[in-house]
Parts: sequence; structure tokens; C-alpha cells
Amino acid sequence: MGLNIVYLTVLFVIGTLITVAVIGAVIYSTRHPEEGDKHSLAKYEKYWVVLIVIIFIAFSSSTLAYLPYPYAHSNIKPTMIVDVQAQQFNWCLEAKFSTPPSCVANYPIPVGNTVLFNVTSIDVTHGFGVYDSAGAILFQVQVMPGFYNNIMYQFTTPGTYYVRCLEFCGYGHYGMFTTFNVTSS
Amino acid sequence: MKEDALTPFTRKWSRRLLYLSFLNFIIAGTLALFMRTDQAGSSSLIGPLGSATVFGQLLTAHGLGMFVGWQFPFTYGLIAYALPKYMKRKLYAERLLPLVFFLFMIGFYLVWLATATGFGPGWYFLFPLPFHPGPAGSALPWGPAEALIFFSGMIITNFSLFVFTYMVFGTVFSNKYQDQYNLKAGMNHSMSAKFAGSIGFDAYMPKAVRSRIISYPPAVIAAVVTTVDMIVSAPPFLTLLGDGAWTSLNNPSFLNNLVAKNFLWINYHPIVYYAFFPLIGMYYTLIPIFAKRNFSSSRWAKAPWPLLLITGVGVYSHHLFMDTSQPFILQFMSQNMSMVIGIASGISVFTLLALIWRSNYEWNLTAKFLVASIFGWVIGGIGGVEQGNAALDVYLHNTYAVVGHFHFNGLDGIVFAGFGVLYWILPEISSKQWYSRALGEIHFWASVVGGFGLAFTFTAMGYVGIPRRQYLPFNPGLPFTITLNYQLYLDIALFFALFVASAQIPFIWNILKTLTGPTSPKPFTTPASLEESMQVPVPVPTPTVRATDQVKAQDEIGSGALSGISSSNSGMGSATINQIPKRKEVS
Repeated sequence: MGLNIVYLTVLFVIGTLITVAVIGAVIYSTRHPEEGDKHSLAKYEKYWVVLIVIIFIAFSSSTLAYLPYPYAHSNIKPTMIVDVQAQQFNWCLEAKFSTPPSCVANYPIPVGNTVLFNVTSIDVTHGFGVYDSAGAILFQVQVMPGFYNNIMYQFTTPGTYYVRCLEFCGYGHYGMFTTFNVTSS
Repeated sequence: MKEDALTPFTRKWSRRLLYLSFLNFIIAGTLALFMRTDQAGSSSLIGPLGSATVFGQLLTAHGLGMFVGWQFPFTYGLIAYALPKYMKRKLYAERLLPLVFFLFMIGFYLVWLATATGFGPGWYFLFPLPFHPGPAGSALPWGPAEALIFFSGMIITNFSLFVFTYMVFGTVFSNKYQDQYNLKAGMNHSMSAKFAGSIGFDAYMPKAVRSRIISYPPAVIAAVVTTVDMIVSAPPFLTLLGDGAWTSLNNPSFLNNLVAKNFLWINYHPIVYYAFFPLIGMYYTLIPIFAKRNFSSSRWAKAPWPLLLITGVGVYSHHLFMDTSQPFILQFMSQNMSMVIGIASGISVFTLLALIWRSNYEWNLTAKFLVASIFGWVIGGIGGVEQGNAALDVYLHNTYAVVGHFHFNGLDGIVFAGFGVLYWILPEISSKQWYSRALGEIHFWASVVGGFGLAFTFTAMGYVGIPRRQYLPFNPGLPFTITLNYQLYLDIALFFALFVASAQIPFIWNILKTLTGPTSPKPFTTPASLEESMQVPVPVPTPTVRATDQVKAQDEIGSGALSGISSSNSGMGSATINQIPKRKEVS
């Protein structure tokens, strides 16, 4: 994962500042109306369209390498698999799906592993969102009953990680979280 | 304009629909205020008024209240006004307007009744949550009866959409009208040519073909595009609602959960645009009047519409980016469609801003609201481009960044544009002049500060990682929610929410005083185009000069309010100072 929330924040702030400047300039320009019907800005529209098409193609293309789908990264093989079952309002992490589930508290993951999380739900749709100890969202995937979704992530820093439900799943949704440990050995 | 195109009957039901929409807006906004206090928790200014269960109900009722309760009647009312006004032909089957009104009202208030009695799976009700509100053995907040009321109400609400769609398509495409759209030489006898023109596709045609297709006004193109999107996406959505009602009767669901989620978002994304597209049509209609010049190229003004038509539905799968079971082709399509909608928006915004650029722009209240809403549209679009990209959405999905995005677009974009249009057309459909310009100005500036403050705060919360739809997002079991001070952000959001709420008080007062004020014996009218605005000398409506505004009114009259298109007379206000040098009584 080469992208992160800082990139997104910077992108948004720059976009906002440019927008403020442009609309501010447009508003200010009406204090000095041009003579006649010149449309002095409109003649640049075709260049503007070419520019935004290029920007959007470049933007979209540059992120393709970071798609959050394991099947889009067939060259990367997981070194560990963790199965996750969700139900209102609990998480269960286990080595292999089992019935009844054999949940492991503070599930241990040795650092450096590329983990494939297989997630499913036994009742309603949940959201498997993983935060680091600083509170940054690392990744997420929807957890849908009847389906096995998955996501892959390489853990490079030991510590406690937090799983939080990121899809509204009922009145107890806000209290649905758990932890797992990335261990140094 | 033909005197009888916008008939008294259409005016009456158009305004009733608009009144209903803003009534729902105020109610839904009040519910949002309760959500803010609940989320801000015990440390908030007010403290929680509800519980986790009530929060789910508020979450559901607020979202539905804005996206359906406000948008549907607003769009019905606006299009019922705009088609006769700008197409200059009577609304087709106008006698069905009361049916649209009552079907919508009955259906939607059943929906709100369901939420009031406990139904709270969110406004997007992901299956199977409506039928599984909590773990077995718990005290459950709702049951099958509430779910059945909800699905029945949504189905009835959608019937109103079908009836209204019949009226829109009838008005635009019927051969019964003996006017330029049917009689002008060329290709207009062909339904395909009419359809191409009515979605702005003629902008992409060579001149030899384009010249044989009559050009439709932007407000008409917008009405057709938004209606097509809604009606195309209705069958899967109705299937979903039917399955919901069926399952509420203790039958097994016949849709799997992934198909159900697709059937939801394929309609729920166009719903977001249902009012926005007609309002963009109003940008294209009113901004030339305020800028006192026409677009330099009608092709650029039309070019976005076919793109918006396709992407309005085609982007829907970006709501399922985090569902890895969703076929990749749909994810790929939606990511690209999200970019295309950015391009279409970019073309529109440039066209509109280029028209304002160095024009003698008339900064009346409607004009201000429109420019503020363009600002909201663009800023919301930046967040939308990020969230419309699967690689980036993984950090933002279901965080407050999404809430920030749709409050920029929904509140600061769509609702602000809706206010602007209401200030413009209300005198025409009600025969009453606005009570006070000053109250309108307060409404505008307070709404801008509160609305943008709220949306920026939500966006910042998203980048911090605060999840949405959480009764209490902070929790000692999640230490970073304390160290990152989630509470502070929630308090700031509550502050701006209160600001937005306060901003509506002068609006409510103004509209109540307006509607209880004197009625002009003759209806007012507004110019339908720049050309009409240049032709209209402006008699000052006489009957509704209010004492509080008399002095200012006299000042403005003295400074040239009678000069027709003078920009010195700006903003809505009472009769004599109304913007609205171009609004006249119809004799």
C-alpha cells in the first residue's frame, strides 16, 4: 500500500484552495465587467476539457497498482491466512473457519507477514476496518452474509491493531470492535 | 410566453409540492440536529437526547427525509413549473399533479411512520438488516410490522414517481402540442430525434444534422435526463422493495445480499441527482439572465448532459468498492464513470463560471445562492473523485469523509441551489412577493457559514478516520479515539449544525410572513430567457410594500430599479425592492 490518508488530505486541501482562488477571482471579476460580449474566458474551454481529461486519466491510472483487491495482485502471495466471522455485535478471528467458531482473542500475527483476511458474516452486513494504534485506517472490506470477501495486507510494524465495524449493523454497531497483535517474532 | 402554459392549476400544485418539500427539509434537518447531539455524547453542549436505538431511527429518518422527503416533492414541483415555463407548453395531464402529491405524501409519511415506530437500519437498509435488527433474545427495536410499513411506503412513494414520469415524458414528447417542437421543419417528427435533442445529444452531432433538430431549453434537458435515470433504475429497486415487503411477511428473501445491494445503489445513486440535475438546468437558465449575456457556445452548454445521463446510473457500483465479491467489470466501470462524471461536472462549472467572468453580474439573492452552490458542487466533487477511486476509497469508505462529500454536494450544492430557485420562483407560483430581503440575506450568509463549516468539519473527521453511523464514535476501548480527540470534532460539528439550524429561522419566518401576506391580483412572472429579460420593462408591483422595507425600497427605486436589467437592484426582498427588476405582473 503506497497511498495513505496524508496523500488524500493534501489532494483535498490543494483542490479546495484552487477552487477558492478560482471562484474568488470570478466573483471579483464582476466588479470590472468587460466591454461588449467578449466571453474572454470561454474561448479557453476546449483547452480546459483536454486538461481535465488528462488529469482524470492520469489520476485513475496512477492508482490502479493500489487496488484493494487481492486478485489484482496475483504476483503477491499471502504468507498467512486469517479467517474472520462477524455477527451482531462481535468479531471472531480464527485460523480456519469452524463451526462453532473457535475465536482467538488478540490474534497473534508475526510481523512481516502478508496476511490474507477472509471475511464473512453469519447475520447482517458488517465492515471489517483495521486501524493502527495511532488511529489511521489501514484497510477495510465489507463483510456480507453468504459471501467471502477478502483483503491482503503486509504488517511491517509490531503492535496492537484494532478491528472496528465500519458498516452500520444495528443498534450495537458502535461497540463492535476487537484487537489483534502483530508480534515482533 | 403563452399566457396559459403555466396554468393556475399547475402553479398551485407546483407550489404545494415545493411547500411540502421544504416542510420535510425542516423536519429532516431537525432530526439531524438530534443526531449531532447524540453523537457528541454527554460532553456535548446539549448532551444525548436519545439512545443507540433512537440514533438508528434518526439515521434512517434523516437520510430518507433529505434524499426522498425533500428531493422528490422539490423536483416534482420544480419540473412542474419549469416544463411549462421554459418549453411554453402546458404540462401534460396536469390533473394528475394532485395524485402525485398525495401518493408521495402518503407513501413517504408511511416511511417516516415506520422509522418513528422503531425501524432504523439506515436510509440505505442493506439486506438483511431490515429483517435482523439484533441478536436473538435481545429486546429488538423493530419487527416485521415496521419493516412492512417501511417497504409499503417506499413502494407507494415510487408510484408517485411513475405518475410524474408519465407527465414529464408526455409534456416533452407528445405530438398533441401544435408548437415549434412538433411543427418546425426538420427531424422533429422522429421520436429518436426528439429524444436526442431532449438529452442534449445534438451537441455531439455534426452541424448538418444538428441544425435539423430543435434545441430544447436547458431546464427541459435536465428534467428529461434526471427522469430517465430514475425510471431506468426503478425496476431493480422496485424488485428490491417488493422482496423487502415479501420477506417482512415472514417469507424467505428471493434476492441474495449482493444482488440486493446492487439493486439498492443502482437506484439510490440517481436519487442523489434527482433534484441536482434540474437545478443544474436552472443554473443554465438563470445565470445568463443574471450575467446579461448568453453562452458563447450552446454546444458546450449541452455537452455534459449525455454524459450525466449515462454516468448518473453507471457510477453506482462505486458504493460497492469494498465488496470484493462484486464483479471486477462493474468496479472498473464505476471507477471510470466516476471520473467521467467529474469531467462532465468540470465542463459545466467552467461554462457557468466563464459566463460570469467579467460579466455585469447581478448579485441578487438567487444569484448568490447559485454561486455558493457551485462552490459546494466543486468542493464536494473533489472528495467525490477521491471516493470514486477504489484504491483511495479503502481509506475513506464509511468514514465521515463520505458525509463531508454529500453535505458539500447535498446541503451546500443542491439545497442552496434549491433555496436560490425558490427565492426566484415563489412570487411567480404564489402571486406573493417576499416579505423581507434582509431576512433572506441573513438566511444566505448564515447558511453559507454553517453549511460549509459543517461539511468541512465532516471532511476533516473523515481524514482523521472517524467512522460514520456510530452512535458514539469514541470509546475508551479504542485509545486513539481519545488521543485524536474525536470528541472535539463532534462538538465542532454540533456547533455548525446549530448554526445551520439557526439560519433556517429567518427563512421560516420570511416564508410564513410571505405566504400570509397580501396576494397580488395579477400573477407575477419572470423572464424565461435572457432575450425575454431584455424585453421586459419593469413595473414595480404595488400592493405589497412593507413598512420595514419602504425606505430601502424608495432608495432603490430612486437608484434605478425601474431600469429593467439594472444590477444595482439586487437580492430578493419585499415587493418594491425585489430583485427582481425583471419580475412583472402579467396583465
